[in-house]
Amino acid sequence: MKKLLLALALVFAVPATYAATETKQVCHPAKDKSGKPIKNKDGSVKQNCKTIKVHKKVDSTALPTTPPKK
Amino acid sequence: MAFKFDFTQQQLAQIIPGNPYLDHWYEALCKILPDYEIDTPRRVAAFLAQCSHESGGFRALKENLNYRPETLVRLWPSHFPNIEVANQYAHNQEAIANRAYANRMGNGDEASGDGFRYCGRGLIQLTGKDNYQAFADSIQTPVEEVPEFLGTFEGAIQSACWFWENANLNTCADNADILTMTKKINGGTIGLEDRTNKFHQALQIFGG
Repeated sequence: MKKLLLALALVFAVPATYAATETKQVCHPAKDKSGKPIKNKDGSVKQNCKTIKVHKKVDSTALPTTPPKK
Repeated sequence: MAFKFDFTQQQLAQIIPGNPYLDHWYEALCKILPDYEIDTPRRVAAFLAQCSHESGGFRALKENLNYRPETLVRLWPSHFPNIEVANQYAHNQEAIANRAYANRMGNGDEASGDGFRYCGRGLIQLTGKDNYQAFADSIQTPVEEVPEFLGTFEGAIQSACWFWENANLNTCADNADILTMTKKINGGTIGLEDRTNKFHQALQIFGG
C-alpha cells in the first residue's frame, strides 16, 4: 500500500514541479565576427539553438511623458 | 504566485522615496517579481537595491549618453581616440551610442543604428542586440517591440527580472553576496557601497 501511495505521489508531484518552469527551444542564425551568416556544407544557414526559460509578457503601461503634479 | 512575506507599498515608498509613480511601480512589482521567484525578503531587497542604484531610484529607464568630448575620450578611447573625433559626437546621444556600441553585443556597424536602437534601457539597463534578442525570446515577442516595452513600468521590471534569472542572482541574494551580484550586473564594482547600503536598508524595512 505504501509503495502504491509513493508511486501515485511521484506521478502527480513530479509533473507539477516541472510545470512551474516553462521552457522552449529557440534558434537563431549563427554569425561570424563580421556579422555574416555562417553556412553549412549544403549551403543552408547554420543555426544556433538553445533551450530557454519562457515567461508570459506582462501587459504594460507606458510611463507618462510629464511627471504627475503633487 | 505571491511573495513569501508581506510586501507593502509603504515599504516601497521608503526604499524609493519621492518617486512620482509609486503606485505604478508597486503594482507592476507585485505582478512580476514572484513569477521569477524574487519573493523572499532577501531577494526582493537585493533586487530593489540593485535596480534603485542602476536607475537612480526607479527614475532613469534609458541610458544617458549626453557626454562632453573629454568624457567620450576618457570612457571609450578606442572609439573616440582624440578630442577632434569626440567633438563631432559630443552631446549627440544617438551618434554616440551608434559609435560606442558598434560591432559588439550583437550590434551591427556604426551605420546600422543598432547602437542607439539597443542602448541601455529598463531598470538594469539592458544593452546590445544579443541581450534584447534573448529577452525577446524569453517573453516570446519580436525583438523590434522590445525597445518600446522597456520604456514601460512592466517592461523595465521584467527585463531586469530576465537578467536576474539568467545571471542566477537569487542565489547571490540568498547568500547576501552583494559583491558577486554587483560584478555580474556592473561588470565591476562601481557603486558597491551604495548597493550594499540599499540592500541592508531594504532588508531592515522588511524586518529581515
